[in-house]
Amino acid sequence: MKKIENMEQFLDSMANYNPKFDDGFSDRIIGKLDDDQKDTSNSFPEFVRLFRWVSLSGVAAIIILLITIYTTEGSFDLDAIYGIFNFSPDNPVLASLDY
Amino acid sequence: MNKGRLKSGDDLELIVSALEGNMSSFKTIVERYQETVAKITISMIGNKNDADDIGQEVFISFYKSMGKFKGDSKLSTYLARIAINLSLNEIKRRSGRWITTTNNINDDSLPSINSEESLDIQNIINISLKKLDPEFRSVVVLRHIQGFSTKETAEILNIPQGTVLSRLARGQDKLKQIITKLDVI
Repeated sequence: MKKIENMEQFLDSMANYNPKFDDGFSDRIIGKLDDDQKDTSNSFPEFVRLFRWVSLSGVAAIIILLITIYTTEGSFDLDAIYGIFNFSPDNPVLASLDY
Repeated sequence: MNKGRLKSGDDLELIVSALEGNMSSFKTIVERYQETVAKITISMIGNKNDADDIGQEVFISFYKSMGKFKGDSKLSTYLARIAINLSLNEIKRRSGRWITTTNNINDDSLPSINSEESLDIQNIINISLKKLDPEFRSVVVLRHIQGFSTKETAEILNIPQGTVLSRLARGQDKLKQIITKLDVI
């Protein structure tokens, strides 16, 4: 005997087809949303912490650069910072640049 | 949110409460509509575990966009639209193996339904739906399995009602070919 008599019966069977998710479906969703919210609330302090380290590294690099300039050039002049402290205006290179 | 146009005041209260951060209200929404979403995603995807993931994605996506819900349609229709779109995306994502293995009604990959263990009507529905093209499958699922009207189906799929009717007729013809091939009718 055939399982389905006719197309109408098959369509009726489709109307009664009632697949379900496994138990605890709603709990799984609430759990995921809770996890998402925790991730979001944790991400800002993480950014601040990273930014602090990046900015501290930047400041340290600037201080080291200034100390190096002072020890080599003995001054914080703009010329010392540019690295042209020892050049005189009659230096051919500077003269050609109309310094 | 347009409160006046919402069909169900109860749903509206739950949404407003969920928007205020009350997770138990959102859980009630999930419990109320998970059957609708399950019918659509499991029928569309065919694999219960994958459908479960898509189902979760449906509600999480709704949670994130809940404030944009205008209330122009019923919540069931709104969630059905998300479920259909995510299911179609998933089918498209794995279209390589899906289409090549399931689209040809006349291929030899159809399982033989001679043994008693596979004669279950649910298996027959599952197998025959998998053999339908997604565009026909979505109409058949929404109309025959979920029981939406032609108008609601057209609204969910964003297509004219005439297209729904023609796809439904062609889908039913293809289903008949499939179950005839399966030798169960």
